[in-house]
Amino acid sequence: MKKDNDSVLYMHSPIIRIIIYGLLLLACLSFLFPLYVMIVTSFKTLEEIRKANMLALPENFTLMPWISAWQESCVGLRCKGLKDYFYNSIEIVVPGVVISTFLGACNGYVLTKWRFPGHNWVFGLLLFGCFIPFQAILIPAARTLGILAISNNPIGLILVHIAYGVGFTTLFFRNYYEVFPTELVQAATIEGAGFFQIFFKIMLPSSVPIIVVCFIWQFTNIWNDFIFGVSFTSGEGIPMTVALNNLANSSTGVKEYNVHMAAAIIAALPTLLLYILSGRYFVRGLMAGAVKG
Amino acid sequence: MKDFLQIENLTKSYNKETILNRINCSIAKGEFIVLLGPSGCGKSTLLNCITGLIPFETGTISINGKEMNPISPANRNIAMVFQSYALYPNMNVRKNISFGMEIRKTPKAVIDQKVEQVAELLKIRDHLQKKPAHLSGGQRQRVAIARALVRKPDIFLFDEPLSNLDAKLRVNMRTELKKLHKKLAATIIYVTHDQIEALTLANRIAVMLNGEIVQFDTPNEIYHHPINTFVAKFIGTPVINILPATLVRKDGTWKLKIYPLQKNTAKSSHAADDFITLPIPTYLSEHDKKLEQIVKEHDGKVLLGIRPEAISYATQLPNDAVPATISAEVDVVVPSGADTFIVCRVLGHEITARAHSKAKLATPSSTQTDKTNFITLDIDLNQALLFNSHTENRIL
Amino acid sequence: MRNSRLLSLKPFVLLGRDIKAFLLRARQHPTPILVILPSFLLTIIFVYFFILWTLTLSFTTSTLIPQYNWAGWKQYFILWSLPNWYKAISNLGIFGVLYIGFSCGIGLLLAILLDQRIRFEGFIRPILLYPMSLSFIVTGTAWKWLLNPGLGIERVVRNWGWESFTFNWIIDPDRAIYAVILVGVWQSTGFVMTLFLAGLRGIDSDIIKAALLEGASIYKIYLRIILPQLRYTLLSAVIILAHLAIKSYDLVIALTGGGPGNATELPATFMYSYTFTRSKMAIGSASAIMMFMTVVAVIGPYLYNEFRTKKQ
Ligand SMILES: Nc1ncnc2c1ncn2[C@@H]1O[C@H](COP(=O)(O)OP(=O)(O)O)[C@@H](O)[C@H]1O
Ligand SMILES: [Mg+2]
Repeated sequence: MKKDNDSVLYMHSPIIRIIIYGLLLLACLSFLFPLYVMIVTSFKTLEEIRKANMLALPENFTLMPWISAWQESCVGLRCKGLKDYFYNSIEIVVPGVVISTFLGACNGYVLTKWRFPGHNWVFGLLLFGCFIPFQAILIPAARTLGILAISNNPIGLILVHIAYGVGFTTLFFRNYYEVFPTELVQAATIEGAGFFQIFFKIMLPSSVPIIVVCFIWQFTNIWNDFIFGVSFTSGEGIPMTVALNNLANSSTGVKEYNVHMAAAIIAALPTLLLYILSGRYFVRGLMAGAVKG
Repeated sequence: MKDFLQIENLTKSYNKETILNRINCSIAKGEFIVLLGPSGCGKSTLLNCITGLIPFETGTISINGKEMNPISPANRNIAMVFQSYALYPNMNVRKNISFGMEIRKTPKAVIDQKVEQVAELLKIRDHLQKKPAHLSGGQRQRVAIARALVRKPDIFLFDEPLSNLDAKLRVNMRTELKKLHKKLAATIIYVTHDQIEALTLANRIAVMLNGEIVQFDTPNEIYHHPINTFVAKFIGTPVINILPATLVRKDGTWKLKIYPLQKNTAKSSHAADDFITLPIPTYLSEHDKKLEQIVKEHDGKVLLGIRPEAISYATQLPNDAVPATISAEVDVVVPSGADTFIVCRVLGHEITARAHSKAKLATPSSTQTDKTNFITLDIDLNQALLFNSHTENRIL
Repeated sequence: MRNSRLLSLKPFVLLGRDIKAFLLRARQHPTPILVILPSFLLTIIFVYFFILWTLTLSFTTSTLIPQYNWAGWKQYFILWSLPNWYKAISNLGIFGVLYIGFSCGIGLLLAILLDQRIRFEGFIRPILLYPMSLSFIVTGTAWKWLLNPGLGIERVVRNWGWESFTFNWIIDPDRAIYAVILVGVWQSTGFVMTLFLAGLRGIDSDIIKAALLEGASIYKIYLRIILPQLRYTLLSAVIILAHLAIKSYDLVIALTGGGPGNATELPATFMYSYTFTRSKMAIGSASAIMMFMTVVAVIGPYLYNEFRTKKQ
């Protein structure tokens, strides 16, 4: 009912309003300027980059950096571009997101509508897992994946991402189902629906918003992950972020900034698109992760 | 000082939707005015316009003859008590009360003295150090009032201040507000959707509907002479009975005929040509012309409004009554303390009548549903109101 | 005396009762418990068991591969005698304080500015927030190029005519950490702004109306009524940023690689390089445990509090 931006309290004075708009414009510019530079640089030739101003639009517009980043650039000794690593990331992200979201939904359902003695302990233990620094589990995780023979393998990374994502997804669904009317579950129970029927026929169909939130959150986290990728994979098995880092920080050869920028944009594209397409849910995810346990 | 607060032609809209439509009213100094209307009719919006907290498109508001439109909310010398109390959660009670004076740089000694005074008056002295979160609803209410009082404003605005309290506390606070008004001779505009609150508190009531003031009059006038069926139905419990009736002239005297309710599903035991004839109120008998006109324009169709207390069972009618008796089929009996209300059917029309609580009534029992239970009711037609069947405005 | 001993046993008695009740329920109605079991076991192994494992390693002399010989507190003594570790800790201090301070300060300012009935709010908000959707690696790669003294911002300003302008933080050992802070702030400010904006919008507008009627100026209202009510939002923001700061690894790696020299070493990079590149797993584990303890000290009370108030 209340519109978002009609706060009662605001500064009326025209001079102050000009200053406010000025400051906001400045903020927008400084937030957009790196993105702008990345984009223009990715369409320039190396020569132009060396000669001309970073902010200038490309004079000799070229797609070569993009082509090179996608299929020719060298990551380590392998010069086949980033495309394989991009696929690696997708191969990890998709099952990781789907499975962890599904587990989160199940857990949230159990923790709100089918509480058992000690459910708070279980939730507390799951939730705390969200906040540990990954450094504290890195060595055992690497060893374990090695023992299970799934290190440098998508399955290993998927498992790890599920293990450290399930706390968040559970939190999302628990908070969502907490305010979901229990009367509906009771009514369904009286009509003879069982545990799974209620979950699949009543809870899940009305959980679309939180599924989207959870999906975006997990997608962003897993796609953007670096530390697990760099610790548990190598060679051809590395995900996109690691490949980008290796490409941009390789100490050999000339620094092809245009290729680096094109590569960075490619690496950023999936999450950026997701954000542009569904910013509202993205914000909700951030807030849910931030406020209240 | 008839026009202490004057509102002229005030119009306000949100997103092209008109919320307040050409509001006009003037209020005298020291009056207790109640704004009464259903939720969402624009009462809070009107209060906010008076304070200057929200801008409006057209119209003027003046206090004491001075136009307020260009004056900031802070300088209008208006205090407001909000429905949610709006206490500053981070300040204790004393700070909450003194905040406004601190802003105005009142000397500390004066502040302390005034805080003591209002705290005494509102019986919150023991709570001055507490934060709002640690107070009960009634105490918060008192703090909010104290905060408004301490400034000695020209006008007090109350926005549904009692609606968050439990029933008993609400009645107590109502009495106290009334006392306070007497003591301070303050000018008060009080918003509520509760008609009892309005009837008990107000010098005058402004009834609002869909952003307009429909009637602005004393409680007595509003109760006995509502301007239309909306006001009539909004005021008074149980709600007024409204029956379709037809005016006819028979042998030079006017009568009201009530026909059975035309409803397919009604298991009516009445034949279609069954009807009841009632006399008309005395105050109408001199208005032949008006009545003629109704017959001409609407075939004599009117809406007859009779409050439950004018339809009685086994009680005495007043001396000046225009009596009539009807027979009714009892549906439910609703005891409510001193009175008992009987919901019954007359020719299929549902009406509510009043009986004394000691009157002996045979409630239709569930075991004998097919047996109908008829009683005879006395109606005082002198207390009846006639409304135009189209516009629903009162006739005369 | 007896009484107080008994009292102190109470949690265990309660836990015991919980366990009994749980077992009973598990027998009568196992489905819900079986459904949550996989996630629970996964967490127990991947979080709690692994942390104990790391703790164990930190008390051994493991180097390239784990060895399970007891070395006592030795690795911790070594750790705390390493200049590199001190550098990492003091960098974390600088980084933490400035990163959190600037993110919160600018974030709050932007939130207040955006709450002034700004016409293009729906347009501005996403612009401020989009960096949060990027990977730190992407951000680092981009900013590394922007901060490049020869080709980046420095050259742009010099081209504009300010010949003596220098902006070479990224290669200056004394300033490189500030480059990391700058980029970190750029990435997180929009998020903090979003938190504060939600906080501002959550304040009962009647309270603000009441203050306006009392004649408080807009600055007074912000100072005395609004900001005090945002303190829990601030707390959340600080906790989350502190948590990010302690974990931060990717940003430093992509931007400076911990250099120049060890100028931007942080505990996270320290742990990684000691464990995986310098083959001093036990020291790496000890540093990981130190990080874990710090996070617990920051997050623990907060989570506990949230949990307790939620239950009431
Ligand atoms: N800030 C607002 N923006 C849009 N519509 C509003 C706003 N405030 C109130 N309204 C609308 O104005 C109408 C009257 O509201 P209000 O004055 O609060 O009613 P009430 O009589 O219950 O106090 C309602 O329909 C409400 O939806
Ligand atoms: Mg209202």
